[in-house]
Amino acid sequence: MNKGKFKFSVIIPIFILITGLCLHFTQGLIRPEWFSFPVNLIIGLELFCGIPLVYFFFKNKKAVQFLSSGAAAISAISLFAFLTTIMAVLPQEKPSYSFIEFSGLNNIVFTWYFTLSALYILICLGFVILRRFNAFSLRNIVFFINHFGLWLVIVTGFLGQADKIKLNIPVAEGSLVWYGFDPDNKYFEPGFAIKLTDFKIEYYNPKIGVFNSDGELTGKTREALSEIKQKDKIKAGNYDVEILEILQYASVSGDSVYAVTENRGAVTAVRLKLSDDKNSFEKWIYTGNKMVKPGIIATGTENFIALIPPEPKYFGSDIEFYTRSGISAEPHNISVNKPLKYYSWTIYQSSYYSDPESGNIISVFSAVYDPWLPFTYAGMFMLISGAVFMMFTKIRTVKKD
Amino acid sequence: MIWSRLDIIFVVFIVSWLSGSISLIFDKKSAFLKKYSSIIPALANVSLILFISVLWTQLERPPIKTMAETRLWYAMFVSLITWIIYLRTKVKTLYFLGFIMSSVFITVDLIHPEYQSKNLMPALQSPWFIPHVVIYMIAYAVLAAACLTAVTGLVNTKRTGIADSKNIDLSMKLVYPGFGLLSTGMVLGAVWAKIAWGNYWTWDPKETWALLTWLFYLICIHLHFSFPKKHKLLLILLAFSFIVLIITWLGIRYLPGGMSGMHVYGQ
Repeated sequence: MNKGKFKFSVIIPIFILITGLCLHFTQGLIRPEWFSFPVNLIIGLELFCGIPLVYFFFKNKKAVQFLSSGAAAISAISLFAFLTTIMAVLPQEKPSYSFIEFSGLNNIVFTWYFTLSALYILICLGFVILRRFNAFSLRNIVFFINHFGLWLVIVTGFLGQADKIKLNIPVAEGSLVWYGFDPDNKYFEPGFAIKLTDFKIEYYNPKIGVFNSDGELTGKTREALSEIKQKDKIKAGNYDVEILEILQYASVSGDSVYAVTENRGAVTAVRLKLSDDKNSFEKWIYTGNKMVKPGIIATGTENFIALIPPEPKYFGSDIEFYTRSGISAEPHNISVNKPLKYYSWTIYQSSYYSDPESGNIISVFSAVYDPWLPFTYAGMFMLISGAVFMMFTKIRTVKKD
Repeated sequence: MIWSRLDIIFVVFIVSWLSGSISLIFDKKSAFLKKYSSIIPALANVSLILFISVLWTQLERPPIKTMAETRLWYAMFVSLITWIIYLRTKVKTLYFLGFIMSSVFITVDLIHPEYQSKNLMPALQSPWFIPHVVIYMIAYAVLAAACLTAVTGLVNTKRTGIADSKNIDLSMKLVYPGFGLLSTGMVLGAVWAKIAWGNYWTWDPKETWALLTWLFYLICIHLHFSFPKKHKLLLILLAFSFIVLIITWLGIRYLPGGMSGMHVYGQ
């Protein structure tokens, strides 16, 4: 690397860091709403048109030549990697040291120095793409797809954040809800309502664990935490344990356990047959809830068998959308990994919880409005196509000194 | 459950690779030993592939969710890819180091059986899950081979005082497809996250470290492209990039804030 290039590749990142810190100390963190439509569109177009204009008018200037060089690329990526390293090492949450908060190191994504570092990458990417436009070859096409894809992802990913709306919409069974809350817990009306007609949940079979008197799983045995099926046999202490019956929803009253159809207030119960050298007996174990203490079986002075609450296998909701003018479509089913498109919104099954007061299940939806997504996806698609080409690229080999 | 037979696979794996490695040391003396060392890793790989297939059938889902399961794939891919590369390049170091790495992964699974049984939570039940993880696993294995080649190159460069261009070339030949796979895995993960949670990128610790790994290999590629004579710097950077990759894969939970985010499950 010649000395001039080396000097630039060190000075520019330092300049960006100092400028970014000065802006941070005077202006504070960047707020995404500053870039709300149409500001983001104007900035996007300015970058899209401005970079080529600067390049074509000043391509013979040293600064532009440097910014389209490999040295600049390494310098820009290194600066971005340096800031990403801080982000990776320092938890991005409320810090215990005020200095970290003061310098924005706990919120790097919204700092000026991070944004300027991304801008440095965008300018280098833009210039190098334009420089490689000089000849039409397969190599240059792959280069363009890769680099422009990345450019598009960074620009639309950053600017698109400002227009993105994500709402949390908790809905109780039978209720109709017109509003949601954004990540800052601000009230927002998306212009439609969700009615939850039914919430369905399925569980995996429960797991049995053998615990010691401190309530810890014993040893690293294969039996510990194994998912059980009817007729399964496991070893617990001196006992051979056979699984006789599994009740996904059960009710416990005194010593009797019986199956119920409603999951509200139910526990999961398993009937076991325990045998040792001398005797054999049957007993229920069950998970607990607010009303029922967990049912366990002591298998010795030190150990006991207990049931671990089953994990959900599936949960989903039957919903109807309402607009101000009335019901707008037939009922829909929505579950995890199967979101639903409703005009410009996408609705996700996010989670569920049991209302502490009524015991009713509340289904939580996320409604996302993300108008810049198609452009980000286009960038990702280009990046991935370039990556596939790259796997088959013949690389330049090292010449011996 | 086939997990209880992992010890047999372990023995088959160790015996076949170890005998292959020993044969490789003396391969100049005997044509048979040369042939044996080239072919015997197939037995190790077939046994591991069979184990994974049976496990897949028994679990009734792809075994790519817990650390124990991903280690199996990693062992299989590292073993398979380093063996194939050895057959093409005849770099013996790669043969030994690939074998050691794979054995370590199987050994960890053997002594930590408590990570073997865990259900698939709803968010992981997605057609994007398999390509996302498997492509990452292949990328990690290819980049592990690139790292081993770079370390061999560094040792040779230090010993002879001349840049080991053969190993730089080989390492970079692995980095390009490895980086392509890394990018593909990352984009597939982003698309899946968008479908499952509504965000394609949330800066959770795993994502941040995955991006960092990607950036380090991006620097390696640009350094190799723009400054092909910076041999030593490139070799050191290649080795260091793999350390970042290992932290991304295994080390995040030991870092402050590492147990938060959407990638924490299956433990």
